[in-house]
Amino acid sequence: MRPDTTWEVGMTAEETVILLVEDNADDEALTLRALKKNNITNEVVVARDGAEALDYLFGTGAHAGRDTNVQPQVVLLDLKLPKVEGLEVLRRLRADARTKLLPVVILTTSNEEQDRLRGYGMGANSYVRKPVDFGEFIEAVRQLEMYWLLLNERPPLTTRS
Amino acid sequence: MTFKRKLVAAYGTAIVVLVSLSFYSYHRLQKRNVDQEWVNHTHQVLEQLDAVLVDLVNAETGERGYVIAGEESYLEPYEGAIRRIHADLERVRQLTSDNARQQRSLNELEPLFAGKLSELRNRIDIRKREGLAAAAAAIQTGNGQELTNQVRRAIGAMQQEEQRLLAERSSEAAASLHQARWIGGIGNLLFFLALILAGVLTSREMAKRRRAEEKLRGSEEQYRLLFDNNPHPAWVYDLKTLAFLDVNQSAVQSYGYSREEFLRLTIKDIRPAEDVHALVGNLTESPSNTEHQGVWRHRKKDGTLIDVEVTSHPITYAGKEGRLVVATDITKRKKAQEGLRQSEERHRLMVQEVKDYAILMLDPEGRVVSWNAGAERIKGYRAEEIIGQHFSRFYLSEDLKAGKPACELKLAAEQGRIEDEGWRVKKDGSRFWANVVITALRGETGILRGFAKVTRDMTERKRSEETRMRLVAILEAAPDFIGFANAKDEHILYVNRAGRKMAGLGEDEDVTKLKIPDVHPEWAKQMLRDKILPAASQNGFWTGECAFLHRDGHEIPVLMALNAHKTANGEVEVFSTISRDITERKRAEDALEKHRGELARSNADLAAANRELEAFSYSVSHDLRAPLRGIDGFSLALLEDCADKLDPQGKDHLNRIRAGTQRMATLIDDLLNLSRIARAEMRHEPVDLSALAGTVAAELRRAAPDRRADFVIAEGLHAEGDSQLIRVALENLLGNAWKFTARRERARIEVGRTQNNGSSAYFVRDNGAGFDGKYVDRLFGAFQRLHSTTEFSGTGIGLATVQRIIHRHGGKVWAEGGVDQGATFFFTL
Repeated sequence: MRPDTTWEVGMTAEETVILLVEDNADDEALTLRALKKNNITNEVVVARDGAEALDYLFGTGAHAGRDTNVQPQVVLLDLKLPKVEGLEVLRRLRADARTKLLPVVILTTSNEEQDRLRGYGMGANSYVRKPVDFGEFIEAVRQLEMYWLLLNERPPLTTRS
Repeated sequence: MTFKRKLVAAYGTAIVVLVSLSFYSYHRLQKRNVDQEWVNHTHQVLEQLDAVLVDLVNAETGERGYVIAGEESYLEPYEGAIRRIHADLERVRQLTSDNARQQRSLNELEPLFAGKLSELRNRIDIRKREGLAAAAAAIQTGNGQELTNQVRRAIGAMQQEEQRLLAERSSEAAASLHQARWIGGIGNLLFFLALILAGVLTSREMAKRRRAEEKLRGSEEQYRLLFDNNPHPAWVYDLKTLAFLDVNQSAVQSYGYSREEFLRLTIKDIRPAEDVHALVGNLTESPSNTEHQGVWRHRKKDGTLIDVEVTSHPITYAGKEGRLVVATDITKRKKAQEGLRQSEERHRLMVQEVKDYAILMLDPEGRVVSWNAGAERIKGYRAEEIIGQHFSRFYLSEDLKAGKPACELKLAAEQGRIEDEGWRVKKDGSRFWANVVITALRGETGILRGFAKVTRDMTERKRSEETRMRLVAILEAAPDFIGFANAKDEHILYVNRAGRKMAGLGEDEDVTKLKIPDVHPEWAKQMLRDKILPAASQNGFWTGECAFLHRDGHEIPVLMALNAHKTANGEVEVFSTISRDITERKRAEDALEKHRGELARSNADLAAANRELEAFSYSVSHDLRAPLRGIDGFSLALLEDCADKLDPQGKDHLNRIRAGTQRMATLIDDLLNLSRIARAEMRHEPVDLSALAGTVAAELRRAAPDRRADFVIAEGLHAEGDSQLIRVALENLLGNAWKFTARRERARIEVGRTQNNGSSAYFVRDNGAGFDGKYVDRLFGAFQRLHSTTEFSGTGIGLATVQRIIHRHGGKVWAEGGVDQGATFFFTL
């Protein structure tokens, strides 16, 4: 464990957690099924509302004491969430040095242009609409994995206050 | 008859008589001489005639001697007589040349002579040739004696004639001598009578003069007193030397010289040097024996110059020829006259130079006598072309016909002065509006001397007055309240008809009794006092809403424009206003305001509805799809996970469930698209329809590469609009065409442009299933389908979307087609 104050370059392969922020149990189950179908074995942490997601990311609330230097490899973020809205979650984690460069994929039912624009505008790395056809969804998740878990070289977590 | 004339007459008569006598005597003498000469002449003629006769006798004697003696010496007297006889005859002819009778006698005598002489010659010749006998025979047979007698008788007749003339002349001379004696006697008598008359006259005159001189000597003392005590300077000077001979007391006092000094001076010495030349000239030119008068400059002893009027009379003083002079000092009078003259000249010049008024003088008949600069300017005539002309030429012809000029002069003469205003004529024929004052000018005795006529050109003033009247008429006719008031005491000066009506004032009411606040309601008075009038005073104007108060108490709202009129030094003098009654506008505004409120409310309602719709769409997109996803996802999970437990019918059920969820998801998306199209912001940009259609066609082909279909897309289809929306419309139209031609062996899909009622319309045509024309009205309704889903898939949203897009572009969309005859969709943008 590194102390909080230690800022180090080079988070490595051991950080393979996927944070899934999803309030709908069906969607959660289906997303997990899709991940499994694509043989993604990373640990998936599920937060059921925005507040919980923020608690996890910043080591507060129920997640107090969590080493916030260890951050998920990707956050799959729904927009329509209880307590704290998905876009608000995105805004806050982009405003924090620890999570500023965290890859965030918005995974939502909404196909509203407004939502998409605001999502990208606030620094979402990707925007995926959850298709009704589950087969298509599995395909989408496969592509996400390809990009964010295998191909994408994570940015160095060098942050200065 | 004066003595002088009488004397002249008497002596004159004497002289005339004497002279006449002398002349007569001289004439007599002359006459006598002539008579004497004539007597001598007659004697001469007589002598000459005797001489001729002697010559003839001598010639005959000589011839006889020769004939008888035959001696040549006898021929000598003959030859001499022959020589003289012609000269003597010629002499007679000359002497009697003035007497025609004697000349005729001579003419008769001459052939007789010639005959006698040739006879003598002939006998001499006979004697020479034939001797004495022949000659004597010739003498005896000849008629020599007869010829000689004829000659003697002719000469005797001529001598008788001369003797007669001599006697005639002698008696004439005797008569003339007698007459001379008479005339001489009477002349001498007359001469002496005239002399006696002259003597008598002279002695009578002498006695008369003596008496007069005695009388004169008695009054001389009085004249002396008159001279010495004359209040005017007086003196006597010698006409030759110009020296003063005597001066009076007044002259001594006036000129400053003592009497003794005066007597040493000449009259030149009391003149300024430059006047002496003129004085001398005057003295030499004017006769000395008459009375003179004149104005001169004299110099006093102290050098001051005075103007004097001088009267001089010839006078004999102490035996010298001189002149008595009385001088009157007229310096003061002259100065006064000069002053008057200058003053008159100034007035004349002033009148002359006045340019604004035509000032002219007329004689009593109305002819122009004087003309000033103003007259030239106003009427156009130069002084030299108008002076002497009658002033009636300044009048219009109709005035002339009416006899106006004469009438005006008559009135002016009667009343002393008349004034008139009217059109008058300039030199160039143009008219001007004149104000004319004619004043009669009368001499001291009241005699009419003429008229002074003063004319002003009032054309400008008349025009401006006319303009003013027109402006007032316009103001009176204006529908707005127009008025102005004194800025200091706020007294109203003028309100037009509309204004009086607005304030409820009478048509003929005197508005000047009112003040500004009297025509405004209370609140407006305050506003005027606190805001409007100060603002106008400061900025020159104020505009805004205000109100007037009608007498009956109701307010008239107005849009007021208020101007502050300032004097040259910036002081506000007058406030004027033009105020428009805005009662109607106010009413309309109130209605509009109400309407606007309603509109705002309905707008708010609409916005709320929109927001609700958006929220609804959002929910639909999110919440409705989520369960569908669950149904589909878990159906698939069931198929995968429990495949072994499901019989084919069970699997089919699950597949139908999944298909249902898919259709539902598509429906939801289409609905969302439709609502999004209605809400989306419209952009206006050039759109290349041909390119867009090409792209859409390529996508369709890519989705079903096996289909045999021809896309015929016209080139150069350009339009203006929102390219994204138009693309959606094309996707739907081409998608439909693609779909409904699925069963065709070879599909043909055409995109192009055609003319429709003069405007161009785009179209998408296919050779597919077409539709029943009966249902053409239902084609564009949402969820309306003319084919079953089993026949052709679809939600029935596509054409509704197309119609919405086209309508949002302000265009039209319609369709033509029949069952199995393909369909054509037209649209305009």
